[in-house]
Amino acid sequence: MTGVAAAVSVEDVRRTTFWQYLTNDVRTLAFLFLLPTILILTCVVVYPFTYALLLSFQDKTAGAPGKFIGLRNYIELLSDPEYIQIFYNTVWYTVFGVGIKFIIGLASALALNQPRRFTPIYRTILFVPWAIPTVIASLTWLWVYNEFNGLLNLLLTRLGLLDHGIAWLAEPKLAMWSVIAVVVWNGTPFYTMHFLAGLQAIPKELYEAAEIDGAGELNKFWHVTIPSMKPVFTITVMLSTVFTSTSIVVVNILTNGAPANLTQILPNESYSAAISAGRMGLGSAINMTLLPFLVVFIIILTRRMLGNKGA
Amino acid sequence: MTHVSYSRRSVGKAGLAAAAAGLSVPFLNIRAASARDAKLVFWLQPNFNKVADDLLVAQAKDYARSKGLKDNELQIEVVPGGEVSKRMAAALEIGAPPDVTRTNEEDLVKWGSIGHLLDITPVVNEMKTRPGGINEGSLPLATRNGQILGAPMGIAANAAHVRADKFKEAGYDSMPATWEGFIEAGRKITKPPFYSFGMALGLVPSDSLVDLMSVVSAYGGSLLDAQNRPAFESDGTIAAFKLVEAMYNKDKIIPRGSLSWDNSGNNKAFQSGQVAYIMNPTSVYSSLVTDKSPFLDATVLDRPPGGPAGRFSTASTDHYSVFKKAPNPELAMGLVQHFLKPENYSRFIVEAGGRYLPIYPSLLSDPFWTSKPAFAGLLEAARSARSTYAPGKITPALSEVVNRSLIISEVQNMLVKGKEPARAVADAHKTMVDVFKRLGEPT
Amino acid sequence: MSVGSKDRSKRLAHHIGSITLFILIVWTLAPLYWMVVTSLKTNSEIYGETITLWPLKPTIDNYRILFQETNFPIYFRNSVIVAVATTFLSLIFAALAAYALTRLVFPGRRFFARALVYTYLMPSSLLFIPLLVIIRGVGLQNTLEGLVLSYLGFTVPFCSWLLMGYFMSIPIELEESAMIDGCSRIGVLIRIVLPLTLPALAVVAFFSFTLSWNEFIYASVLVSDVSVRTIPTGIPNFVVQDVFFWGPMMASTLISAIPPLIVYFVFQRFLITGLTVGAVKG
Repeated sequence: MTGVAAAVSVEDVRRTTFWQYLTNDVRTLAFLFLLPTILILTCVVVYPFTYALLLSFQDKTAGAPGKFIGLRNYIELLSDPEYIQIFYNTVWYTVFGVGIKFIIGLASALALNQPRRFTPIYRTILFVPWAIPTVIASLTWLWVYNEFNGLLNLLLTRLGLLDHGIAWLAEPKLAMWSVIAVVVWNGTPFYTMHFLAGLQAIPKELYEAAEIDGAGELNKFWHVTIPSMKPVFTITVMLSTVFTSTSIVVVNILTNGAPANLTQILPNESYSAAISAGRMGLGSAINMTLLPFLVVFIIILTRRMLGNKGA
Repeated sequence: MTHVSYSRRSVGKAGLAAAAAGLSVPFLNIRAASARDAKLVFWLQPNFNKVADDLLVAQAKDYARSKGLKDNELQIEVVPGGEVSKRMAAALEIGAPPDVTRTNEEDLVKWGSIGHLLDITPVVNEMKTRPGGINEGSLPLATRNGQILGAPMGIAANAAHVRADKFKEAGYDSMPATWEGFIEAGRKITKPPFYSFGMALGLVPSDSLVDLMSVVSAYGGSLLDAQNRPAFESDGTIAAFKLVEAMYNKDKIIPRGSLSWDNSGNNKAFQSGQVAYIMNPTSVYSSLVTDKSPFLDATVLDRPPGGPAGRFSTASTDHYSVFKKAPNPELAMGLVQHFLKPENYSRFIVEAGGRYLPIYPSLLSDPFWTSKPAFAGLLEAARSARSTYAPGKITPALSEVVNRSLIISEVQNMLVKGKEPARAVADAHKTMVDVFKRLGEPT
Repeated sequence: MSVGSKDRSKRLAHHIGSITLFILIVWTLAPLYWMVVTSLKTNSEIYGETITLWPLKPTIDNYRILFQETNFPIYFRNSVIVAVATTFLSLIFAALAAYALTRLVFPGRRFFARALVYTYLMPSSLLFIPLLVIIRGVGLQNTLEGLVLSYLGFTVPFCSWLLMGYFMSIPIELEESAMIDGCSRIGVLIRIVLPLTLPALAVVAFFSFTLSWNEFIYASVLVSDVSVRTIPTGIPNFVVQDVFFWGPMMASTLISAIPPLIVYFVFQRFLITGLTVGAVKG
């Protein structure tokens, strides 16, 4: 009897030790957990990234071998005043795009968080712009902005506010704002959704405690809501900034940079150089010039997040 | 706690459903034959109307069958114009371009100069032996080092589409023959939101360059000289720029929005009856016919207005090219030959509705060309047509200038940022020279 | 503050919320209205000289063309498969990664976490060529799996970051007590951590689904065969040279907006878990 029990327990011990070794050694476990992510990212991101970096130091057309030219692409860019203008446009476009999306997203989330009948329906409606591919949204807005028979001019002229249609995408003072409006329309639900999830996760006790201390709505918002939402704000702004500043679709469809490159942004210029003009090295270099700024931005934003928290 | 267990169950259920779908993807086997299972790959760039496209597909399939190919050994991909650059760049990089596709003059030069295109002189020689021969105007352009890299498949003539009714209303028998007269008429015709001149000024190549050069060349300016060197800066060009500036900012006969138009902007403007004049290939006219547009009868095709240097339209030739990487070059060349056989070709030309003028001049006697009154104007425009780049020819450097809209950028700088016309022309010229120098072409 | 003025302040906030909501819904719906109306118009009303705000002769011909004369049903099926697979796999991989990065201590943890975000710095408009080289290299060109793999590269980093944020707010005592009871790490992840982060999971699902549903650039380059195509790449085929087919295009837009909306409608109940988190803390 004792012998059998002893045999079983020895085997158990061996089995447990092996399995425990695999799953309880933190480093192996971490590696296993991260393995799928690492594999995917290596194939789908790291290799293309490295390729693009090396490409920026070359002179290359599609199908032909590249010629190494060192920093000449970068020098060409930095001495081109059009490039400086485009860089400035990109900053403007990103700052306002992200900023406006943030404000509207937060307002939406707060409004949707309030108890109300039919809230699921409102939430679904507000989600729709994001459910529509950016390509289609841009094409639709192109039509809405049409100088002759677009929805916007139609409404404004019928209401008597305009004599005849305005070229929303060609007037120098309006073009960039028209483009940003589309970016905002298409991208705000991303913020709304994320902020709403964040608001829902704030424990009710914090609000109750504040109310006991005599706080009104504004105070509760300022001292409870905002601080609790900081991590959510950080992630959303960080990711949206990167997505917004690297997307070519909206500008490509609406204006292609017109008028006079006033709406042109870096990713579009990069695409135009690499694909339309066939200068892949230059196109890649244009993209690379934005990277240092985004990287610094990410490091600053995530320093606090990665520093304080974590096991 | 009840809340949590309810949610967990729903998550579990949803997760299982998604799991089933996710893991079954590979087993559903929804995949295409790899590009090289096929013996012949043809990229069809759509031609403005479905009937013409369907005809090409049918002709390609007939050819494949006649060569004993099975259904899946012929691969036809429909690649819209806007997708070609992107798809071709990727395809060339992985070494898998199509076997056959249509090429315009810029493509011919871009891909030909790197050495991607196959010599198809035999096909062209056969075309020359047909009764009446072919229009050989484009052959010098398609030839590189003695090799012909594209078989011409049609002449795309740009015609001025004119709303004759609007000019009549303003008291003119027909559109004035000079730009100055045109502007004067334009002032009378333009009543926003209706504009007289739907000039394409957007940064998407290439309608804008066609429109610009129709003014520039009327005053004697040109992009290149006869030795293919940049020759943009000239009195003629400056005069033309001044005219464009006046038309947009002073006379305001051009819709403000044209700066952000893509290549369909002027089409849409004309089709929706908002402008009295555009310069475009006859795709617009074909659409008016198909849509039974109320403006159809009022529309005439004509040459653009002229100036001191003359009055002419522009035209370019499109080709079929074969890529060197084609695993079955004889098969690929045979497809091109098949498309260009007069009996197949003549049907395509008619279905294309005037989009192309036949490369075999003998086909112009086809009753199709007298079936519509507007075609008389088209033929006249085609007769007067020169290349946009005359007196030079397209080169790789010029191709880059065109594809990055460098000239039009300066036009927009002039119109929007208040640059002096003479400065804009000088800067455009300098940009051209920089590109030519960089690519080692003579300046 | 008296009870009365607290109520007033609350009601004011509610009213402001309602007005804001109203404005936002109008602003969201206007282009959608235009899409719906255009999809029901005949060509002459879309392009004609007098543009109508409401179709005078409504027609469902555009929808008929969409379903009978184009390959739209095939594109729809493919998009569903790709989106569902991507969403499911994103969830798994991101949950594993996020757990590792927040609960397990190992060298390079912080670098790896940041690296996740750096993956977004290169836009798809530039990466598509080397990506094609890789996808073709593993034989996945023109397949749905190839698309899923490419999209995972987009979704997993963001979803990992998202889940990291939520995991970090869950007290570690819960897991420690479970592990003392003999639960393995994976068990802890599945039974304890995930259920408490349902709002995050909902967002992960929306994001992954919508992104793979709407992605255009990679889909147009990696897949050329019609039988494998997804919806966004089918759309440009409605553009024949420089002539648009707005009617069918708008019809396809509306139909293709439905599945993401269904996903959203179904998953949004998971956003309401304020009670649960409170229970944990107590």
